[in-house]
Amino acid sequence: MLAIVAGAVAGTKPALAGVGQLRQSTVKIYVTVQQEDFLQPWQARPPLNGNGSGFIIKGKRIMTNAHVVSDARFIEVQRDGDTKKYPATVAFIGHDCDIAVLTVKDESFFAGSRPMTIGSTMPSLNDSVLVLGYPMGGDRLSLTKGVVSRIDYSLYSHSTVDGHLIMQVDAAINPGNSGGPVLYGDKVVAIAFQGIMGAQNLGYTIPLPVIEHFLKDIEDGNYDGYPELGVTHLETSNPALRADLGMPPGSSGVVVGYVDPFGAAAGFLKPRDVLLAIDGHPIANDGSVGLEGNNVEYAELIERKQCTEKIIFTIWRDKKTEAVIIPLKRRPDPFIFRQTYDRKPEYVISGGLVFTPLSRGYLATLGNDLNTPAAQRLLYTSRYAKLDNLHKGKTQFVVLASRLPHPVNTYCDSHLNQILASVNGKSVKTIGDIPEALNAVQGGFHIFRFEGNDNPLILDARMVGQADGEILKQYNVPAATFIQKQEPTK
Amino acid sequence: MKFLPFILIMILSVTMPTVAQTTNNLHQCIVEVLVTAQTFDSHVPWKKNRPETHAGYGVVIADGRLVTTEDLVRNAVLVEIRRPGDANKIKATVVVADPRVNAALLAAPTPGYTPAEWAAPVKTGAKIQLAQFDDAGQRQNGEGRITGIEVASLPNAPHSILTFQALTDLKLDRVGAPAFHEGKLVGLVMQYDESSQTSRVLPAAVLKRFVDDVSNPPYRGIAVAGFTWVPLIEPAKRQYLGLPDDDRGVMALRTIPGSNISKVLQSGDVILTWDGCPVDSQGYYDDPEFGRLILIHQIAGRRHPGDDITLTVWRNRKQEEIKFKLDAYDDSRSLVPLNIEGLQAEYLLEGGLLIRELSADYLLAAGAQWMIRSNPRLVNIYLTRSQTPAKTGDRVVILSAILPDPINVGYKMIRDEVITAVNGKPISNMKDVFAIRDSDGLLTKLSTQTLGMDLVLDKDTLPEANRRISELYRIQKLQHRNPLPPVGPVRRN
Repeated sequence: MLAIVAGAVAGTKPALAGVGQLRQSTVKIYVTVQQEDFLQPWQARPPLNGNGSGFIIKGKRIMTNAHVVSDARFIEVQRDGDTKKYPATVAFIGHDCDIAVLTVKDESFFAGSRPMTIGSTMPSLNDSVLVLGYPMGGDRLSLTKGVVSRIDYSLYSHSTVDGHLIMQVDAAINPGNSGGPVLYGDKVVAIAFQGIMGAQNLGYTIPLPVIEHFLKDIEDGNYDGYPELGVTHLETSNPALRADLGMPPGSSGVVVGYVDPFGAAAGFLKPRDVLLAIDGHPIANDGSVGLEGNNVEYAELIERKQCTEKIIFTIWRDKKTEAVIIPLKRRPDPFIFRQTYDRKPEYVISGGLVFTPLSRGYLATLGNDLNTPAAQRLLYTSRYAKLDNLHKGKTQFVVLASRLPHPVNTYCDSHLNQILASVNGKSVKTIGDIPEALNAVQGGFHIFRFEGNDNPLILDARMVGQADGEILKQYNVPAATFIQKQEPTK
Repeated sequence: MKFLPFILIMILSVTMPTVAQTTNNLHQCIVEVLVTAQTFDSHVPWKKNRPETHAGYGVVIADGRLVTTEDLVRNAVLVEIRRPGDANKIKATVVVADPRVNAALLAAPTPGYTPAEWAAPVKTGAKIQLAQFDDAGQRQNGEGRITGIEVASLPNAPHSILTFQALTDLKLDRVGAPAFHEGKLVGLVMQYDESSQTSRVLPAAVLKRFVDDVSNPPYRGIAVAGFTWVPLIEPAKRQYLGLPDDDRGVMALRTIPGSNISKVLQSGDVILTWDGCPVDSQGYYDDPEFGRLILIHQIAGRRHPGDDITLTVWRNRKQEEIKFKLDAYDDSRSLVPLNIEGLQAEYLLEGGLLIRELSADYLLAAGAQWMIRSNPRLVNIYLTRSQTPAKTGDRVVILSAILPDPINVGYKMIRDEVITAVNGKPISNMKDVFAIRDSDGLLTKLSTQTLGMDLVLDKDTLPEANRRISELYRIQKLQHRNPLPPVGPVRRN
């Protein structure tokens, strides 16, 4: 974990808001969610009811956590003390930062409400904050006081792969608190969002810089997300390493170890480059920069930027100093295996064999079954796809997820959880390649080959043709395929 | 000279003390085997774990010679035997122990014992007698029945061999307890399941072959064919391959590079007969001694390394005959050796950087969930490429861990990285690493698979750092090299 001492600016302690005012701004959110069923991707799991918290912000909008309203089928919001619930819709959702903004069509919902003000100053360590919300399903607003106990980088568990700044408070954050505001004085400085299993009186909140980033991002009517630099670095505190890199005496920085082909730095930085400064701030050997009187991880400077902006690195390359200007962007990266929401899984069924792209959701479905050789390959692929160049020539890894038993596929279980390499001699780069490949019947047979397996799966094409309709009917499958249209690249 | 074996058998049968014919004197061949074992830590290769003691049984098969299961004497630092109930312990030595067949031959003075005689192959349903002893040395007799004869995996090694299943009325509490059929040794108990009252028995056929092989040195271990195969039961696949509809044949997938069979067998060949026996579509054949068994027994259980094998294969819609010589099983030829015995890993600790080869025991040390818990890339290498090194002798050299010290500051987060080169020179195994260190004096640069830059150690302060690390972390030796091939099929004491 990257150490950081947060950007706290000392100031006079603001006055606390009155409880009456707070009740005018907080919202309880009722939500019915339906998660995807990755083993039977044509249908979703049973609907579940849940609730979370939110708060009204200017522009007649409600801010909450993305995870409160992800995969939602129906959302209702209720003001504190109001008996009426109003249907709401998601206007913007940032799964990478776990923030969402809702709107309510019926404007009478907002009558007599007071939008909360987003603060401009982060509290310091040990400053008292107030956590508001509706924990454990209660109908009345709950207030919990706590102090800011740590400000650090941490994983945001909603997307499972993104890390941003978090603010840890010593107030317990329980289910239902999610999305509730954290006030410093009368201003919002964070959103409650996750706790730690087994830890007591320890809550994680999404702090001001992340909220501000989100609000700025949606100003243009779109949520783009955080830019990804895509660089793995190593500190240069080792004198022998510094000498090997030929770093001049007195210089400091971090050395690039790996450049992600899908990151913004791809094509701009390369391994062995030493990052000496970022936007004019010298980078220390441990990767920190001095910012507003504090030492923060250099990545914090990228975190504060939007996808349309640029970042300037001063680098040491080939024993010379160079300036590298990197346009920040977020490329669609199918190989980071971010948890996805509100997207139906794609699938193709042929001869009762159900193929679906490898995804975080699919891996989560496997659970303890991951401890088998076939599934371990999926785990390895999800972590090392880019590092070990497994992704070359692919946009998806297509997995044989399940088998709808029928005489045509009686002997196919040994191939479950394996990655499809080709169908009828045509390589499978994406699930959309399968239907066409199935037309290229090989002498009356369909030949499925899997990655790292010399044992092909062979089906009688004529029997498959006869069985397909029967199987769909038998297992109540509405369509043999669901394939997303390719998303336009921004 | 052809009649010689016959004469020998005649003489033996006359002069050797006859088998314990009655249940009462069966026990005169049984010894208690007491073992003090000490393993090496799978992740800290200079560290020995605390010694453990195990007790089991062995059977005297000739004067001064005993058999027991290999897993009982694995990692033994001291093996002692005693007559059940007797306080007097006698030191024994392991002549050969082979984890591949879970058999061990021990040597110790055995005056007063009556050697057991091998039982002829038995059939399912055969009645057996079992014996074990309580703490006071009182004999407990049990009856049982062979309920199954199959090739099954060993309790403490990832290998499959001929195994008897037996239903018994005696609660067996130690390995190596002997089973007899008509007064002759039919096998040794390898495992007992109390809930089903069944035990898994290492058959006399396996033990006898092992003892015979040991008495014809050098012991070469068991034979392997060097290929992987799958059953061929899918009608569509059989039709696609144009196979006759006779339920025969299994499909060969991969051959181990460098093995004899790799020169003649191709991926996709369908094996119709093996060594004269028809092979069915699930890989079974009719064994003359034990009935329907999986092909593995015909390779490992009936033949020896170097034996000529003829097989008929279905290739390109034609039947062909191919011949090859069986190889000897040799764990050290693997890209990732199993190291079932937990032998000390070769390692080099340079500037606190622990460099070693990947072995299965290293990954399995993570416990039951090791496929999830160990490094995914290393697990994947083991699961998919272990038997197929690009060239003989290739291993996966890893930077296993780093002992923090000023010399390696900035690197301590790196672990389980695959090392591709040291001092700028590519490496394939620890032998290369040691050779480069011997010629260069020190290792100052490590290149890894993931990082596009090298890990560098300061040449001038490295010797002092090594001394410091050795002292601070109390490590007697900063390297361990095996004088013999790092991991072999057999351990000799």
